[in-house]
Amino acid sequence: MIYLDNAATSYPKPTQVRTEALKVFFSLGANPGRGGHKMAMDAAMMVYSAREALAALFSLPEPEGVVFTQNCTAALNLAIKGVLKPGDHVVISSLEHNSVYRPVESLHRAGLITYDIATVDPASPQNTLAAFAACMRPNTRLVILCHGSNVFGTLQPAKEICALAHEQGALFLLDAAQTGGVIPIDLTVLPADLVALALHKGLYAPPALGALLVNTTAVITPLLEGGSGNQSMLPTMPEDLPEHLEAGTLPTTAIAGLLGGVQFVRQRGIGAIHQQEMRLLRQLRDGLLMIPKIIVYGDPVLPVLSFNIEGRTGEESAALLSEMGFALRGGFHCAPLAHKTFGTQHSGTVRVSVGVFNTPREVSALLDAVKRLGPGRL
Amino acid sequence: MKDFIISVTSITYAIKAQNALRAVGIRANVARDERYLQGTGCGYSVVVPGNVDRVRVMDILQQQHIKLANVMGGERRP
Repeated sequence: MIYLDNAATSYPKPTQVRTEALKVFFSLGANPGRGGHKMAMDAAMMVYSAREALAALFSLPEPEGVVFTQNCTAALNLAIKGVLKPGDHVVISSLEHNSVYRPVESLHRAGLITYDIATVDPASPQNTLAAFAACMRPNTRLVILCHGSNVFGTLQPAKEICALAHEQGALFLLDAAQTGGVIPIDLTVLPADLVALALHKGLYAPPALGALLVNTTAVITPLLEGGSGNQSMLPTMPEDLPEHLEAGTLPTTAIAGLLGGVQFVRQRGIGAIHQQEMRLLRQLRDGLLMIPKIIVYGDPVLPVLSFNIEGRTGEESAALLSEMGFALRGGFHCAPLAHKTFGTQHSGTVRVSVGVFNTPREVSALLDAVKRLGPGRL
Repeated sequence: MKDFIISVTSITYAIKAQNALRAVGIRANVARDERYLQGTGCGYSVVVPGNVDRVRVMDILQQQHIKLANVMGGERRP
């Protein structure tokens, strides 16, 4: 099996990830922040080191602003439902994943908020910015942006949209599921208030681990409440981050693995990894464009590409290619808005997402398989 | 020499305080501390030798935005 589904989760994981994660089984198995004994303290130190490593990678001023979550979806739900109040207005993009679209729609259906969808123009950041500006209202509390499309590999003008949100007194939430660890994100340059991360993707942590980077003093109401390991006699969650938003036992194995992932990314360099992946993606795109009856969507700047074979749905093509030994993702990728934006809401697409461990030979093998498959009869 | 004990509201702040103090050469250790947070329950403290300049320690913790629950001098190491 040739794995080309790194936008779902990166695989394989670097050796450093496995080395760090295994430490939990041998010496860091206790529950961090839940006791004073040495192993619990050592585990807590490891978790804090992971917070420091993430904060440094994203130039987040305070490590306690790193809130670990089950995954990026949980981070986005926490940000959205923790920030919004009845009567608020929200702006989202037309490329959002369901992890943004569904919670926003759910709050809207409950009669709590209103929202608008700003149409992204992949060919024009100016048009995209203008679309966001047109959606802003006096009661806009939150602007949410899918930084990088999980279907089409586009990158949205986050810095400009963040500035627009701040100019109008709104908070800016960046969904960096596909960009965290994949391209540099510096919060001193792109001062997003909240950043949701899928740490098991671009930062190679074991699944499932996400984080919400909190770069604001705005109050966020916890979605989960329970044990925090401190101030236990209080009937409410402690006020300070990250414990305010982290009820229950943390996934120490995944967090330890994250330390190895950050180490790997720092050693290789985010830029170098991205260049390597984009070389593979260009090889793939150029090759697909040479094959008759193939439709390639857009010109990705992230290592994610969608295509279709004429006469076949994305789901069908991915299933057939799976039988030929390729791990791809067909269908709608939990992103109906994105598919409507690109006009693929009826067919879906086949998504290829290359990773740092893929090779030119593997890409060539996929291209040969697509050629052999040929068009369908739809 | 008697230590002084800086109670903080979370393990995260305790480790942050410990690391910040150690980074400038001040011996500091995280300890479980339930005495000064009896009203609210479990907490953590950072134990610093009593011969360290207390004002300097407080300045460092303030620069790091570490919230303190209590500071007690003259306490022996737990």
